[in-house]
Amino acid sequence: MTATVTRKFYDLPSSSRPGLGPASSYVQRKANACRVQILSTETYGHVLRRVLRELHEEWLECQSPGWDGGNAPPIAHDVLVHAVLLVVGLPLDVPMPEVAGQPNGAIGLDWYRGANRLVWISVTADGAIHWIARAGDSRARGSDVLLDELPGELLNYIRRVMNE
Amino acid sequence: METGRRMVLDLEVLARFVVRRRWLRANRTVKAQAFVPDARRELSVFRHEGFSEEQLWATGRVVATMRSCSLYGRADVRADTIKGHALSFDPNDEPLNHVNVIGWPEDDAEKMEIAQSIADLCRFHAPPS
Repeated sequence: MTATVTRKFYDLPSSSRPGLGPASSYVQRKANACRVQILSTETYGHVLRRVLRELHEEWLECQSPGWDGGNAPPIAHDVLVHAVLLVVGLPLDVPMPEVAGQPNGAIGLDWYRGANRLVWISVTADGAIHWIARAGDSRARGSDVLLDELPGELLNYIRRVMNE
Repeated sequence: METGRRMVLDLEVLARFVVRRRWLRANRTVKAQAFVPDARRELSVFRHEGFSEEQLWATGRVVATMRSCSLYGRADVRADTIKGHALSFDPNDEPLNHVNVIGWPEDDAEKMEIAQSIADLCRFHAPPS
């Protein structure tokens, strides 16, 4: 029996886990081109551009030592790069996060619907992400290396928090 | 590690000055990012004890001005809320009434969990106009 998988346009893969060989490479190129085209539309593109602008502004405003009123170090450029890659790589059905600098030199990305419905990801200079998630009674936290796409568990939490 | 300096009591209220616009949500609640400790694992707060409201705000303005920041408000939290997470206080009075919250875990996700729990219970106050 062959399973039929119905995919919506926003299920297009980002650039993660490409297969090997020319066919896979072709599909990947087409998928990426399609993704770029979708992101250039007003509907999806303007939200992404707004968040990218906010990330850049936040990084710029957090360049003086003590920008938090205390002893926060300047936020490294690598943090900005990793945060941008994370945001650009979000699946299209996942809403954009709010952004804020953190006194430990990381950038926080958060999806917040209340004290019991939130996801907060902290992006660091070495490409690690640390995160907590609350969706009703379900709570989780973890640390991962930032790859092209967020871990499935984390994406599911974001979807639950923002869609339920 | 609370030294012989004025010990922070459970019922005291501590203020975290909000000097970043993006630490506030549109509904005027304070984001947990405001309560993340710095790289030395210290979170800078000020006790209300012995300060009038005016003196407290004046302190916030000094903190913001010294770092070329703006003062968007303060987040008040009770000391026992912080102690409940096995954190402790270093009341160094540098400047007056300054306290560092110390004893944070090494694990970053655990720190975030604590910062979020403190943010959940803090009360935001906008500066007087």
